[in-house]
Amino acid sequence: MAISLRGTIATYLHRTISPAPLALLRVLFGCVMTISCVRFILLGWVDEQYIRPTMHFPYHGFEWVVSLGSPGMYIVFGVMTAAAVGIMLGAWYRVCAVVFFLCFTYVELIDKTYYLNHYYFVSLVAFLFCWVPAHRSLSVDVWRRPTLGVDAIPQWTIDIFKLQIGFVYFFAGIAKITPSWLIDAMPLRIWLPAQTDLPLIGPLMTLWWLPWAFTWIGMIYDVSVPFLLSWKRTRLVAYLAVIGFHVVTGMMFQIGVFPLLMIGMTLVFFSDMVQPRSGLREARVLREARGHALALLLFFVVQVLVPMRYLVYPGELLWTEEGYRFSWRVMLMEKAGTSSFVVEDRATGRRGHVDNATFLNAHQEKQMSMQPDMIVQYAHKLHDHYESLGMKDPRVTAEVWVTLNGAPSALLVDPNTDLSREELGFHRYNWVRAR
Amino acid sequence: MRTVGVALIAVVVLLTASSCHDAGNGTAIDTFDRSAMLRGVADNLIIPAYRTVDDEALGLTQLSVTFVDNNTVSLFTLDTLRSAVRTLTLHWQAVITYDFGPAEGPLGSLVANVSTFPANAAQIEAFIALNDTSFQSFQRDTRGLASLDYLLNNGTAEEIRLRFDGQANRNRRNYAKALANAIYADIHAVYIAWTGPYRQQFIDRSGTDAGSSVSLLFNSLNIGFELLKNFKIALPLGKRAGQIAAEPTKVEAFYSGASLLLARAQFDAAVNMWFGRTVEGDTFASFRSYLKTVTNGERLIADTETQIAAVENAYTALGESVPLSTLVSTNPAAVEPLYKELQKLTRFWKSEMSSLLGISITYSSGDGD
Repeated sequence: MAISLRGTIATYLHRTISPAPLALLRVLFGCVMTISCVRFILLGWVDEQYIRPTMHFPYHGFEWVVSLGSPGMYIVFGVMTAAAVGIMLGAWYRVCAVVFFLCFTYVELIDKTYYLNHYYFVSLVAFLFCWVPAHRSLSVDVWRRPTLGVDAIPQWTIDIFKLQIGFVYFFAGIAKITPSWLIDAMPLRIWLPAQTDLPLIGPLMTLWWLPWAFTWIGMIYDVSVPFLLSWKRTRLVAYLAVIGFHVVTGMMFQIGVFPLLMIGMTLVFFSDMVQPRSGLREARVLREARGHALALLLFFVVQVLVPMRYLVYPGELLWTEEGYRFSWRVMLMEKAGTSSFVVEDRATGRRGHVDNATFLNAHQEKQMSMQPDMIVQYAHKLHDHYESLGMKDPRVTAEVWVTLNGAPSALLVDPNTDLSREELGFHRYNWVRAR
Repeated sequence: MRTVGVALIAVVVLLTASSCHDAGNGTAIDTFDRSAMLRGVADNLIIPAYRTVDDEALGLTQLSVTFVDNNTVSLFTLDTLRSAVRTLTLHWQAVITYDFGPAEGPLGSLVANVSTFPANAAQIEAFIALNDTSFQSFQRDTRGLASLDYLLNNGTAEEIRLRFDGQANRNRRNYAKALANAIYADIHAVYIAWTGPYRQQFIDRSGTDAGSSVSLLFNSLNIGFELLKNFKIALPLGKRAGQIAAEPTKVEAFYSGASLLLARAQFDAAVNMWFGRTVEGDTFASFRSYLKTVTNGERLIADTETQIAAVENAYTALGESVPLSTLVSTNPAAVEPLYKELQKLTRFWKSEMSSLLGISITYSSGDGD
């Protein structure tokens, strides 16, 4: 049994495919990322999100990742854009892939305010691109050095992208199997009627049953589409559904280049339409890349564990958000909070209310006001700030009223807990209240 | 499996087809016409509010011309001017809720330019000494309504009259006139924009995305409300982090003592927008009627209005006889409830309303997909 499994794996690792589909995927990814970077710069977001704020919310363990300010952040975005162009053209590909991955991930790590599932997806895909020979065809590198060109590459180098995309949809789908999504049709019951201004489909948005139609179809679509895309006979229909789904959600929600990215990336499922030609150079490529397969196996094991980690935390996931990020939980909640922080001088006992706008931009305040780990980070910032102004070791408490999926606001954190004394970590935050 | 795919498409097609059919015969949930709401708010509240302050600011500039030209300042002239400023400042409170669109200039918003307080008396005196009315600096606390309040209300009537009277005090009269002119110019630019194409633009951008008129109106309501709570009440009360005592001089309109009246007027204007009603009592669709059409909206309306009543009671309890600047130092405990009740109202307007109405507050979506 063990031998046959090893045999199967060895056979699989030796399977080859034309380099063209992976090269095409590289061009698509590089192109969308170039658009995305340029758009980000032109919208003024580099300045707004990474230069102007007086504080940031780094991830636990990545507190050392800080914004470079101006002009540093513009240089990072310039380099990132150049690397995206390099990926698209397949010019100095390996360097560009690594540089793009590092720049993009660096920027994402600066501030969790701007966390989006699709940014995480981009980081993962960029990471995968660092490992594969996506420049061995249709590239400037091959044009410069024709010996780089190959006629076949290992099939796993393209299958990992299918697997990654499959994970995104599948986990997004099973995350939708909840009473709130399927029975209450929340938050779509809130979001759809707000969309009556859409061209064509706008007037339909107030139909009473439409939210349920959307939640059920959305769930079935997410769970099944990786399989339907994998199977040749359903592939075309599934891809049309991909286009339809992303065009509609792209029209309805402000989600930037994400629909374009997914419509482009899912084309990878058509890779077997291009038949490999046998060639003399393929053996070299194979040997070079085989060792990577094992490391990537580990990568995908982590990819399964991370979205499931919420199971070890007690309490309601959407409320506490412990184990929420990096789990492909998309569009699951309409959540908003109003937070009011009080700092108290430990020497004099004098209490004062904080105006959040002094420290945070609108986006940061909005995100902080509903996410416990950001609340603690902010409390630490307030503690240090007011201590530097002469207060003695200030006590920081907060009244954070959060509404989730249309329910009346409830207190998210214990208003008596001195948040300046609480630490960030992977442990359960016992100062987070149940709803 | 192919059948699953076909079925999926069939379902989508059916949904679309049947919804086209149904839309006409009443199976749709209550729909709300956001354009009509925007038109109502624009025509009944925003434009009339700007028109009022535009008229009154123009009147003020005309008064100040004679004020400057005559060397002799009588108590009557002074009083006319003061009363014009008092009325303007009171009606000004109604436009604070609409500090967006044309009100957002390259040099800051209209509210920041016209009603930053407290006034910087020392700097104003320095400018007067130099006869500098260029207003080129970023010191907004040397212009606007608060500066007029300082010039016209600091002391007894006779003291003030003497400070303006005679050829020797021409600079001071000049400064007052320049203040009036600048206030009028700022307000007039915004008013003209509203009477021009902006009105239609405002009505047409009836989505709920970031940058839509609904989102602008919502944001501005909340920014104005925060200004009221944090700066008009909490700041003089000494409730802000880092303050070590009450700061009575930091009230709005310190010299006239009208702070509470003004704060109440601002609150009433915001509440009128919530209800969709004019000062004269005409009603039209606004956020309240919008909420009536959405899931859980009635519950939020009830919570909000209970809280509005609590704020109104807290105002009423303070009365009008003692200025806020006196109250915060002599009887701060009496002002506390007002701050507390305003604070409690925040979450209903800030997070719950945007949540139920699906209004996007920021451009890059938080949840994304």
